[in-house]
Amino acid sequence: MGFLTGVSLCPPFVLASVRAAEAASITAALLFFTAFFIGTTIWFVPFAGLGWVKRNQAVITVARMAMVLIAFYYSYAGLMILIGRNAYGY
Amino acid sequence: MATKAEFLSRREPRSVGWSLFLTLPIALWSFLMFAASLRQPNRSLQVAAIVTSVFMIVLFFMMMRTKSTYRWRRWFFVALGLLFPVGFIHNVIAMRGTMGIPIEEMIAGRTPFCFIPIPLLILPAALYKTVVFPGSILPHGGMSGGGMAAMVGIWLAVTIVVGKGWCSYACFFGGIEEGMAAVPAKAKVRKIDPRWRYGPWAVLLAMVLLSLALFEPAYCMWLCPFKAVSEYVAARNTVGMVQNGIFIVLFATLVIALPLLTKKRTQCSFFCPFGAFQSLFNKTSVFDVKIDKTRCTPCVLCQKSCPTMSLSDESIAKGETLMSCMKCGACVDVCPKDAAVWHIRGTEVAVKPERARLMFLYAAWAMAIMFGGSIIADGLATMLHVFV
Amino acid sequence: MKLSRPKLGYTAAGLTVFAAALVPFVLYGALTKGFSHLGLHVDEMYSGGPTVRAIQATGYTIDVHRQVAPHMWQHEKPFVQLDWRPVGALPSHVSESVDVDGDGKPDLRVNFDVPKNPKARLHVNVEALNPRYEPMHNVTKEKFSALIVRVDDAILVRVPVKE
Repeated sequence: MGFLTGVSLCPPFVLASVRAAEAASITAALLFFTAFFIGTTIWFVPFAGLGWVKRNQAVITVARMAMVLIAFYYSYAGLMILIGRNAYGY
Repeated sequence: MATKAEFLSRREPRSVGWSLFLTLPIALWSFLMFAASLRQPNRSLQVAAIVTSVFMIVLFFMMMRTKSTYRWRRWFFVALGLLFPVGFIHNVIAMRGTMGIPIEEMIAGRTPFCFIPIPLLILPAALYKTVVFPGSILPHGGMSGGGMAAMVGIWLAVTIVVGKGWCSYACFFGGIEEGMAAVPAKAKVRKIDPRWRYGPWAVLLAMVLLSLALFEPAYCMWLCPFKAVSEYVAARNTVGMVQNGIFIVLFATLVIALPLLTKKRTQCSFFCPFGAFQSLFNKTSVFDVKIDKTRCTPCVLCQKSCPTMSLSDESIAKGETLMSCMKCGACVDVCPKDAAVWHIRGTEVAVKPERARLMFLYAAWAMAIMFGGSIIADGLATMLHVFV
Repeated sequence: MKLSRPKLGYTAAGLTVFAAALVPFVLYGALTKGFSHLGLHVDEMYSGGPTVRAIQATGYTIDVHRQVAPHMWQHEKPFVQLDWRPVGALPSHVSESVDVDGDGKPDLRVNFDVPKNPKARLHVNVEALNPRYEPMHNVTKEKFSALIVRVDDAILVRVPVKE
């Protein structure tokens, strides 16, 4: 389990790697990856100041519980896709 | 250490004359609120209005006479929790023949609006000016009742007055658990991990996000246990059946079984997202409950008696309740040292606490009569119309 | 005059009790009105969207609604709603071509029976003459974006639009 978690690949990273591998030259591939890094970093800027949250036990507990609830929903949605039904029949 | 019974008998009751005098404004208010029902030609509604009015006045009188709050408020709250489903389910069956909401009623905007989805609707309304609930903003016939605007209006008005006291004086679902919790003499399960208190916040966060993502009232569709005593979306497919199965299980565990085992309001304390949302209004509420640290021993009787675990060791040491306090009065009534007291923000703790209690109770009981009282009368009238 | 904290507290408490007395007479009505004037509308996935055209037939009307698009991750397709009203004026079997977009060419051929029992389940078959729309075969009311239902004095048909 630990090994699988260790080699788990982030899908956007895989896509970017493939795209970079298709590039004409090493320079183009490096440039592409740099742009990919900058582009994805922008998404994290709003969360830059939120490190203090880790020290607040209440927030951590609420976040973990909420994660479990939302995981239930995603498990249900995934199961519906697996068995070939619409997630919402109405 | 004094037992609860010994303590209660020690409290000097207020004189009958003073108690009646203090009850007078509530009696007048009650008459005002029920006067319209008394003018109705419907005999069962007239009788129900009189009975409810007398019931609320007597309970307030007892609160004045005994100087205690919790056990009298609980009579009202349990009656509300039991009689709301009677009136509501009767209306639903009379209007459309079934507790299940057919899709036709959802399309027609005739789904009655309950207060619980209010926090879930805020983000879609703010971002898209869209209310993701199959009701009507204004009255639209059938079970749409007064429309969503009416429920939002009453919720906001009562919340401005009592803050999270909504959960003790207005919520027409909480009384069921409070009744269940009152049944056993002793709790069979006494140790509850205090981290479960964060449950409502987690449910609120998850449901707010899911409601925005799926553009529907996610809590109503998936998790609300009180569909068992009101209404639910009629199952048209497997998804619907799964959803209906979930609410039956949640009702049986959170509203019936766990309160019986723990003597706590478990759905309210560990699950209800609306309760978490209402907790925010405790920050703005004028009235609260404080602990006088000079008198507190601490015997933690208050902690044990709180139905929502809103008193922790840390909060007692700080002299206050947690944000989740519903102002039910249980801790104040049980405290043998008069350390747990009603309080008005800005004033000194334990200086004239009875004045704070009176001011709070006038406001809260006025709301209880206006809103909960009308629901109790409606439920009673439904039962009475068989005989009267 | 600087008010002390206790005086402020008692003033606020007094105002709260006063506000409680005002709730059924002033406050409740004002807040209700305020909310209804916020300009919010019920999600069109439920309401079907506003009517944009009415097609006159013999004795009845077909109301064509504006196309409704799903928001966010709604698990529904875009659709257009058509209302046949009044039900009492409809023949026992409706089979007609409908020009949805008003360009003079029929876009859909809609077929459904109109049972006498108002509570009877309805079924609809829709042939898509315009490839923009999805055909429907024996559809009832499982999905908000593809259904046939009777609501009051109208029969509503929702036809999914290809994304």
